[in-house]
Amino acid sequence: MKLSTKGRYGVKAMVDLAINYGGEGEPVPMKSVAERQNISEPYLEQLFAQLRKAGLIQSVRGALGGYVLSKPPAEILVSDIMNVLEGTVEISDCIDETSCANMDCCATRLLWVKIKDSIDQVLESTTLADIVVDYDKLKENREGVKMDKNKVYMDYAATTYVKPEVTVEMLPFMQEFFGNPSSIYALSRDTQLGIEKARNRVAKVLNASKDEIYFTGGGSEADNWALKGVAFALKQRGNHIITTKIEHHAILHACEFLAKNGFDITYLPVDQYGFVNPEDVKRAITDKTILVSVMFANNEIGTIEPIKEIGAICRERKVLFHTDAVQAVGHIPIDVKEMNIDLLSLAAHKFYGPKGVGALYVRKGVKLENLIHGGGQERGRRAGTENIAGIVGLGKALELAAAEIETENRKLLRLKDKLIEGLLKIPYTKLNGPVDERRLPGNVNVCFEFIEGESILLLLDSMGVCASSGSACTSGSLDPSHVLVAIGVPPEIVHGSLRLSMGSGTDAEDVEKVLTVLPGIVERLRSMSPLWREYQNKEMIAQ
Amino acid sequence: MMYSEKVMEHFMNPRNVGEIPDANGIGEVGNPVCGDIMKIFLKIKDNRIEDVKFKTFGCGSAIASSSMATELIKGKTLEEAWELTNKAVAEALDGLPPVKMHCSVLAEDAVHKAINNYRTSVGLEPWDFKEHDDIHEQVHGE
Repeated sequence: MKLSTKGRYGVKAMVDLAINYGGEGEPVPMKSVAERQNISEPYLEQLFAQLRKAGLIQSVRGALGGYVLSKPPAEILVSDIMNVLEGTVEISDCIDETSCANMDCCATRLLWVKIKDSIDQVLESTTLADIVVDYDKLKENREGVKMDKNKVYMDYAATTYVKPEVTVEMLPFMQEFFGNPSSIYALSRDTQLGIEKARNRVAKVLNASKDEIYFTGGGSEADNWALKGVAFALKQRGNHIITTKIEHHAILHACEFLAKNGFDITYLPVDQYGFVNPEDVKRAITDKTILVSVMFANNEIGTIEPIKEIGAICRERKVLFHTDAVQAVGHIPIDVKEMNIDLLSLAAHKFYGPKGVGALYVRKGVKLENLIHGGGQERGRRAGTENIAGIVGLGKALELAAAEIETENRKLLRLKDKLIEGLLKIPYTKLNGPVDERRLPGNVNVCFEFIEGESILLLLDSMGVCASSGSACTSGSLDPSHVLVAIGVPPEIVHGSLRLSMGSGTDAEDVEKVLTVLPGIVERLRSMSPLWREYQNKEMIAQ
Repeated sequence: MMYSEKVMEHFMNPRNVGEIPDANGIGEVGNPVCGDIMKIFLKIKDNRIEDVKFKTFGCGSAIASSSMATELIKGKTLEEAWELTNKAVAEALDGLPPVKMHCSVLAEDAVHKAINNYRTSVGLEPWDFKEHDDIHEQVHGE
């Protein structure tokens, strides 16, 4: 098909003029079109010259000058533009009657003609205004996410929005292909296919095979299944499980349950940055050990654990290795084979998929008792009618996230450095977690001395910033963050923690806004704090 | 967990924040390890609370409880102020989430401590008062 850069860039530039057309045709400077559409100015000048000659656009001189569409966007067809820049679209030489030997009787010619006709039909029925309308809808979907433009969402580690591309793939599985995958009729075959496509996508991202992926009702279920499933399957062999002090409560509370049922749990310490020492794992393994569970990346302080090393130790000692990778999947590259992982938990809503759906990777050959008993879904391993739309969404979201890891992380690292630099300018502020690249790219966690985290969150919220805190008061329990305690943050400081986690929708403006409002909030709360006054008094005496 | 509008209003615009340089009754309760400290300053004249200010390190409900408690005792006689209960503070705030009730207890304790601090300083017997030491064990639990 003859559709060169000329045609594509020409349409792009014309759509730009249409978007900025305004009510009665506002001229748009060529420079801004070139910048927005990433087209070089000399090249754009050539395109505009041709389009102007054809009468599709006009140039306006003067300070407010530029280019403007000659007619309203609703009256300009894409085919008008293509005709000027490319001539008519020909998809095969044989449509040109002079160059074909078998003119009268050619089998494929009918196909080419058919394709050409349908391309013509699209080009001749789509106006610039149609494109702008579709674009506005897409934008609305994306910005719907941000709720309102004055809000800054910095709690991506808690949950993410669902990307529009994901919602689009999910919708048919709620309305059209709703059949129970366990049924025999054709309607259900489509839902089965949807689930298997998602399973394939997940397997591909993790470098697993598709029969090693089991869908669950979220990350907590996957964690519970891994722990209880291994514990009950291997209890004849041993009753010792090794985990860490900084795991998510889905792991810690499942371990407490197992402890009540006769299992011995070792909680490994971590260093000041939250790292588990693989040597500690090695030392903790006994002949009774059946499972080691270490999180891939910490949800509060972003520490990325040495999973590959720990996996190698477990493999060597023939102990199963599970990792809660809920915070890591879709954000950092994971290869279950290379990293010696036997079981891995993930949750869709941490990588722009829907809530209430997750998965457990179970390496072939790993013995695991069922957690949810009932029907024969998930090859008899996890009962319950499949959350089809959720599973489809998970697959799409993970595929998208995995493809974008590199570009996304480049952006996040830049924003993270800027945010940390700005936060540490506030006096008596300490960074929690790693200072090097072994930290989740979107995670920032700090403690402000002399003030309490929940108060910070409430004031941030009043200024349109959504964040979270490891502070006691935000969780139900009132106990300070077990993670910050484990890395040795002093008890009088631990309450003043703030977690800002960034993601796909975060931009430099958001970081700027947080850095603008936070110093005032900290100052205001300190002015109310008896601790701050005491500290200042002591300082004065010391001087 | 949701705060009532009244709690949010007192948190966003707390009354009587600060210190009284010539306070004659001061009470401080809580500790930094638990994440909340409340300090109340009283200016008492002729057995009446002429002025009251507070400083608080703590969560939203701790700050709102301090603010409300100071409002409730301002201008009262010491006998009247002594009757302040944590329930009264919580009710005046249109309720506190169950997990935050201890904040209102801190406010009650801080007021009682400040009044007794005044009474001892002028040679009077302190009134009978048991600080809710157990409150922290209750909420930090296990």
